[in-house]
Amino acid sequence: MDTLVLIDVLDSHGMMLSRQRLVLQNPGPPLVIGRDLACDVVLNDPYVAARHAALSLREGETIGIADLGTINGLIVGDERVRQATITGPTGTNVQVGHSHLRIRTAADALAAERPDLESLRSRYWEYAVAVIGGVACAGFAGFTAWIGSPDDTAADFVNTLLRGAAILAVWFALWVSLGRAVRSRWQWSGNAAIALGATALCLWLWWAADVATFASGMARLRWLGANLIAVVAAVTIYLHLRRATRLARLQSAVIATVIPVVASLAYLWFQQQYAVDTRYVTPPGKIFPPSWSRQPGVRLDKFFDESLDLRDAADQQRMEAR
Amino acid sequence: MAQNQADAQKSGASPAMPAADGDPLPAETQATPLPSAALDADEGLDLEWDQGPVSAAARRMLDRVRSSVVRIRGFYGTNRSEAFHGTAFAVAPGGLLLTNYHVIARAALSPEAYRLEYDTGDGRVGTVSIVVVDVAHDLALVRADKLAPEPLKVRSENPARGDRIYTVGFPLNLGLVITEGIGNGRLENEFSPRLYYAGPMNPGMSGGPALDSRGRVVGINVAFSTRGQLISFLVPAEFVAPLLERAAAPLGASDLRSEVAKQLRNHQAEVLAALPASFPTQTAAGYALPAELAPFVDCTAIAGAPPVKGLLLQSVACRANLALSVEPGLQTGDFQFGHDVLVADRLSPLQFAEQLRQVAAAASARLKPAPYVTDYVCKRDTVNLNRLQGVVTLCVRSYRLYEGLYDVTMVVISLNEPRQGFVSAVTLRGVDFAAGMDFSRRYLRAIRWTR
Repeated sequence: MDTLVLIDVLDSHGMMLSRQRLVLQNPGPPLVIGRDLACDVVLNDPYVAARHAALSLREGETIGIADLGTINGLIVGDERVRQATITGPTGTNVQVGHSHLRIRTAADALAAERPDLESLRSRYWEYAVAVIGGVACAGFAGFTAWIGSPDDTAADFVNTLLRGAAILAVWFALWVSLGRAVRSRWQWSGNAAIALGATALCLWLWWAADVATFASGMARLRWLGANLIAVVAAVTIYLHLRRATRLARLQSAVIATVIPVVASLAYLWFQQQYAVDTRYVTPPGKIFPPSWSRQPGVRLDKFFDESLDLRDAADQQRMEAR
Repeated sequence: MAQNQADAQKSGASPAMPAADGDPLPAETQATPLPSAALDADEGLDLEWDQGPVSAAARRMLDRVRSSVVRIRGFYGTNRSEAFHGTAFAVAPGGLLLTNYHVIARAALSPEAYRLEYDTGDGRVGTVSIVVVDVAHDLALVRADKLAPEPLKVRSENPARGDRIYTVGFPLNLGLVITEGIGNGRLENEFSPRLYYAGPMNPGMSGGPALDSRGRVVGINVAFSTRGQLISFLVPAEFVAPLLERAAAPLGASDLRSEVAKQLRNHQAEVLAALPASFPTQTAAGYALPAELAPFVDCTAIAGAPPVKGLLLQSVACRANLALSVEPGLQTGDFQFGHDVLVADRLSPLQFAEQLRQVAAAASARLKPAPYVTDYVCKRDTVNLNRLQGVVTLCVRSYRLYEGLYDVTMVVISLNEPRQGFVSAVTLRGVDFAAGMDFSRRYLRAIRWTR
C-alpha cells in the first residue's frame, strides 16, 4: 500500500524553505534526499552529498531513513546515526548536512485538536477587574489629593492621575507588546486587569499599612505591608509573564520572585545610601485623626527609662566616626 | 577678635539691644570713632568738646598701659604667616597674661597643630603657653616666655552706667590702638555676665583690657554686635581673680580638650539648675506649652503663614542667650525650643492630620547636621502627657571630639483633638546626657491640655 509522506525543509534557524507532499510507493523505489537534481527532495546545501539519504518502507508499516554512505551522515536528536525510524504524531526532525528536515508520515497517529483556551475563555472577569482596579486607582489619587491639598484638590487630583496613568501606560505597553511579539496576541483586557488590579491593591494596601501602624504603634505592621506589596508584585509579574510569553510555570515563578526581591534590595540599598538621612531628626510617620489611634501610650517615666540606650547608641556612632 | 566671632555673636548679642533702647547714648559717644589713619597722629584730632579734648586723655591712658599689652598670635604648623591673633595683657607678675579663651581656642584644642607667640609691638617676640582656661566666661591665662610686663591693676566692682571706659587692643593689622566709650552696666537677661560697652570694638581687640579713667581693668574685650552701632561687650573683671587662683595648678596641653568638655558640661549644668523645677507655660488654643523659662530665655510669638486656607497657625520661638564659642565654627551650650499651634475651622480631621504631619516634618528638618557631631539616633513612642497623648521623637547625637557631650533634640506632636494640635521642638546643644534627659522630661511634664 502506498504511504503519504510530508517533508518540510528548514534552514538552521528553523525557517521553512519548502514543504513537499510525496508518495512512497509500496512496492516501489525509496524517496531519495540529496543535492543531485534527480533526487526526490533536493537540498541546495554544500554539506549534503549528491545522494545523501533514502526514505523507505520497512517491515510492519514503519518508515525508516537510512544514510547512503556519506561523510556527514544523519543527525537525529543530537546523535549521529546511519539510520532511524520515523515516528511521532508531530513528525521527526532529521539533520542532513546543515539542513533540517521535519518528516511526518500518514502512518503516524494524528493527535486530537488542542482547544485554544485563551480565546475560548470568557473575558467578563478581566473587564470587571480592569474597571474596578481603574476606579480604585483613580479613587486613591482623588483621596490623597483631597487629604494633602485641601485648597487645590482638583488640580492635584488631575496631576496625580496623569502621572500615575503615564507610569501605568508604560508598564501596560511593555506586556501587551511582549505578548504580541512572542505569542501573537495583544491581550488588552487581560493585561489591563492585571496592571490596574495590582496597582489598586498595592496603593490601598500601603495606605492600610500606614493606618494600622498609626493605630497600633507597631512599626512591624508597616514592614508587613511592604512584604505584602512585594508578594502582590511577584504575583503580578507571574501573571503577566504567563500571558505574554511561552515560559513554563516554574520559570515564570522564579523570574516573578527574583524581580521583586532584587528591586526591594535595590530600593533598600538606595534608601540606606541616600533617602534616610540620619543626620536629621527622623521625620514623623503618617499622622491620622487621634480617634483612629488605639495606642494606650507609655508613661513619661517609662519613655525616659527606655531612652537610656540612646546614649550608648550615640557613643557607638562617635566611636565609628573616629 | 576673630572675624567669625563677630558673626557668631550676632544673634547672641541681640538681647542687649532692648536694654540699650531705654538708655540713649550721650552725643559724644557717637562722635568717638577713630579713623585708622589718625591712630599714630592723634594730635590732628584737636577738637573742642564739653569734657575737653578726647584724644589727650586717651593718649595718656595708652602711654600708661602700652608696656603691659601684647599681641597674641597663632601659627599653623611651621608657617610664619599668622593664622589668627588677639590681644593679651599682664595681670600678674612672672609673665602671666590674660586673654579671651576664643583667641587661643585653636591652640588649646589642637596643640599639635597650632603654636602661640606674643609680640610686644617694639620688636620683642617669644613663645606663649596656656595655663588655664575658663570657657564659660571666655577667658584664658597664658604665660609668656622671657617677658615680665608690669601687671595692670584690676577693679572688681562693675562700672556704673555712664562711666567713661577705654579699651586697648590690636584690631585687624593696625597696631596697638585705644578707643573710648561709655560703660552701660551689666547686661540684663543674659546668663553669662557681660558688660555693655558703648564704644567701638573690632576684630583683633579680643582679650584686650577695658580700663576706667584711672587705668584699672574693669573688663576684657570679648564681642560686638554687628546689628547695631557701638554695641560691644566686655567680660566683667570679677572673673579674673578666680582664674588667677587656678593658675597655681596649670593644665597640661593634652588635658585641655577634656577640660573644655568638662567646663561645657558644668556650664550646662549651671544653666539647667537655674531653671525652675516645673517649667512655666503659656496657653495657646487650650495647650499649655513651655514659655519663658528664665530671664535669659527670649520668646517671640507670631501668627504664622497658614499653609492652607481654613487653618490658623501660631508660632512661638524661644531661645536661651548663652551660646559659648568653643572653637571657630562651633558654638554650643545653649538651648532653644518652639511650638507651632494649628487650629482648623473647616478642614476634615484627615486633612488636618496631614497638615500637622507636614509641620512636624518641617520642624524635624530644621535641625541641621554639623561636622563636629555624629548622626542622630532617635527613639519614638506615643507618650501619655498631661490630659493628652503625644507622639514624641527623642534624638541624641554626640560630639566627635568632646567625650560626654551631646545634643539632645525632641519633637512632640499632639494627638488629642481632631481639628487642632501642636508640634513642639526643643534642642539642647552641648549638654551632659543625663542633664539633657532631665530637661526633656521637665519639658514634657509642663505640656498640658487645659480644656
